[in-house]
Amino acid sequence: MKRFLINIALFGVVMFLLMVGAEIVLLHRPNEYSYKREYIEKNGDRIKTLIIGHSQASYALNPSLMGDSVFNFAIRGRNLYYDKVLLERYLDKLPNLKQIIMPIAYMSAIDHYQYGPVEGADESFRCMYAKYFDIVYPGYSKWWCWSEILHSDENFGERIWLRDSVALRGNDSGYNPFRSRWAGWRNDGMLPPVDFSSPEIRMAIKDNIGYMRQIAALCRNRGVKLLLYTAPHTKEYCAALPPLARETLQRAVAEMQEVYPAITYRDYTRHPAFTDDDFHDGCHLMPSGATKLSKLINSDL
Amino acid sequence: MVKPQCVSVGVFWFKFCFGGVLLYLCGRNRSSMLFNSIEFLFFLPVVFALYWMTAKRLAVRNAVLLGASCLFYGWWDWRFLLLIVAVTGVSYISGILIDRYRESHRRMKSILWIDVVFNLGVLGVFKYFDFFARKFIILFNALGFEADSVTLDIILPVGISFYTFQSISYVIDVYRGDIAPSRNPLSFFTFVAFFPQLVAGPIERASNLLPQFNRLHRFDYASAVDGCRQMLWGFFKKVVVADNCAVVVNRIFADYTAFSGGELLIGVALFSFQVYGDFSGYSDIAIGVSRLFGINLSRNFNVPLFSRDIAEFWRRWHISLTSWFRDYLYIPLGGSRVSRAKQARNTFIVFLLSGFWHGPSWNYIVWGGYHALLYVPLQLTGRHRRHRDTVAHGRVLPTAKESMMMATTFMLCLVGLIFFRSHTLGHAWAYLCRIVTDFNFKGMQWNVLPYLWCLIMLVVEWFGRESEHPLQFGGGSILRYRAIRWSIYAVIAMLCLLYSGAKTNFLYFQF
Repeated sequence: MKRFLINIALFGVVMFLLMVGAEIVLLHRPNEYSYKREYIEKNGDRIKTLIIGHSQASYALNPSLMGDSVFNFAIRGRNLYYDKVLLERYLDKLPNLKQIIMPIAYMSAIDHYQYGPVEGADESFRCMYAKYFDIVYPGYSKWWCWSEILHSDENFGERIWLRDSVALRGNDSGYNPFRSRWAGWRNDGMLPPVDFSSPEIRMAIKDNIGYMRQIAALCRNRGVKLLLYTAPHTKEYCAALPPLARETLQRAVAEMQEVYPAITYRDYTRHPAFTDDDFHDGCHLMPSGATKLSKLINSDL
Repeated sequence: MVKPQCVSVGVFWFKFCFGGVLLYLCGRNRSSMLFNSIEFLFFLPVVFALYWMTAKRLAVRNAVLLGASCLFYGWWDWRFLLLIVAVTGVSYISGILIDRYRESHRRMKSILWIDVVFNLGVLGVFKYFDFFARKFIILFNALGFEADSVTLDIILPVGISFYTFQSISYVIDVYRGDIAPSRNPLSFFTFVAFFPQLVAGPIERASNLLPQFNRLHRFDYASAVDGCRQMLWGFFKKVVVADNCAVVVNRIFADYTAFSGGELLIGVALFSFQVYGDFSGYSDIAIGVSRLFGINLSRNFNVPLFSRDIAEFWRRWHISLTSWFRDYLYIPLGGSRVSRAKQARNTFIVFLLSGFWHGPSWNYIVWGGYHALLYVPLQLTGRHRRHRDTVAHGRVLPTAKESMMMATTFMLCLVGLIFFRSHTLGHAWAYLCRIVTDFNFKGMQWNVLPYLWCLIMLVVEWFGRESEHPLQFGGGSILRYRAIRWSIYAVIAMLCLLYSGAKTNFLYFQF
């Protein structure tokens, strides 16, 4: 037994050292989180328009088509809690900021790490925000979340070996385009089946609308314009959308406008400019779609 | 379902170690404690330490294992522990009663049937009730009667097919006089609920496993180390091979009409590696974990991907289930002692029921029937026992003929797997037709990694095909150096950490 325990402990030490090595390598490899934090902290005074939110912004809005001083700060999978905390932290460090663009998705009001309907990715996001933004999700310890290998679902292999930094962290302005799509793309990205009457979803909606109101209040207090938009969706996505999802989204917008009446809202859900070729899946855009949406929003600004 | 909440280490240990376990479980609806979860990473060393600290006192040691098994299972849903208690309790009492009434064959038989009906009844209610209820409604409506829906949408308790079959085999063995009934409830409950094999097998025989809970074990260094190696290989198959294949397979099967025939063929080939990596990976981990406790489980897979015909495939695939059906169904039906026609009939019955065991779906039944169709000709011509040795025994590479035979068997299995994986028979048939009618690789996206992992698994398993698992290195060559061996282990472990696919449940949990 003693020999076994010694060998296991030794092998554990070897593995621990290898893991620490891999974590250090990962820490120094480009990724969206570290790049966007570094950019906003170094270039805060240059940003006049800030794009926040999740994948319906990070893959969908190309700042290079929207002017020089636009930065896409969105990262896939970000929920409203992190948007709120990031705005609280950085709003005062962006002296020339005039407007914020934020997607509001059908998932936005129900996407919640504790109560939401999607399992699996929350650990990953908690880890990445704790590690690269020092934002610790309530109830968690930073050190528990710190190991990317144990918690994150980022593609470590690519992170370690891939030399194309744009593929790893997006381009200089924060836009991170999709490069390809699956043949079966139409079935991807659909709204998960949600029981809007369940206590968990009601809790998620309550929390998320609270965050939205706080985001609206932050923009109002700082005198920054807020443009909300709902990204284009495929007809299959729209057909499968439960009425309660639409109602919840409208309620969320109304609640934000109640706090900050100057909020502009654009609904591009079924905009005729977008064809099947523009979609990566039910609710995300390929670069051609991102170009169209960026131009559309730019003309609205 | 509320998602499992990852709590800070301190809070976790407090809850884990200081008796709040049941309250903790009651308050949450958790997912299963998977072998590849962080919870299990904490769970196993604690149980290992407690077990060997109490190893000199049989009752305490079994109590530790039973408590750990309850915690392991209760992590998913503690209410279904009551079901295990019921199944185990009935089988325990049945075994004793059968032994008591050994003089009266009629009574013995009655008790046996009560136990079998009870176990199958539990399985039927929890696994098959909805299926049959729906079919009856369709039948009644077709006959012009009005029938309301009576389905209950019952949750399928994880592992029910495994532990009910294990309990049934115990009672039948007692009835046959092959084993003496257990009179120690603690060891018997531990036998049924032993956590490494509770939720996805191997389906153990009492003659192998039960005596191991009735004797004290001494820690065996070689066995424990080999168990760790087997676990490591199991993890590689599960998290690197199966989980990475699953990403591609799920997409392709979600909308097969969007893919070319070539892609569909690749999709089902990857599914074969997924299901093999997933299930044999689970079995390897289960066997490896058990060996840490000095307990030896039966081998469940013996390199089935290198089978030269379907008969050999079934001697190597899910061995514990195949042998269960052979011993408790095929042989009682007459086995090989009856006429050829009856042998064929019995084989069909076994394969159809084996398919149905996987779940209440016509797809599984067709899958079973398809394999029976492939098996029966070999059986009737007496060629089903041709390949009893390992392929290319004593050689590095197979002959051209062996390669052709393995490839043919693999392709035949793929056809069956289309039915196994598809949601409906129509879906499966259309998938199959599309492979034939639209065979090209146009527009195919090649993410090379899943194929690379499959290839590595195949190569390693090929070279380790004569041993119990491929990391069971012999003493020869450069592998005698610890540094070399540890480097191999470290590389595999790092691959598991860095290249694990999307974390998924083990496929066989649903059966």
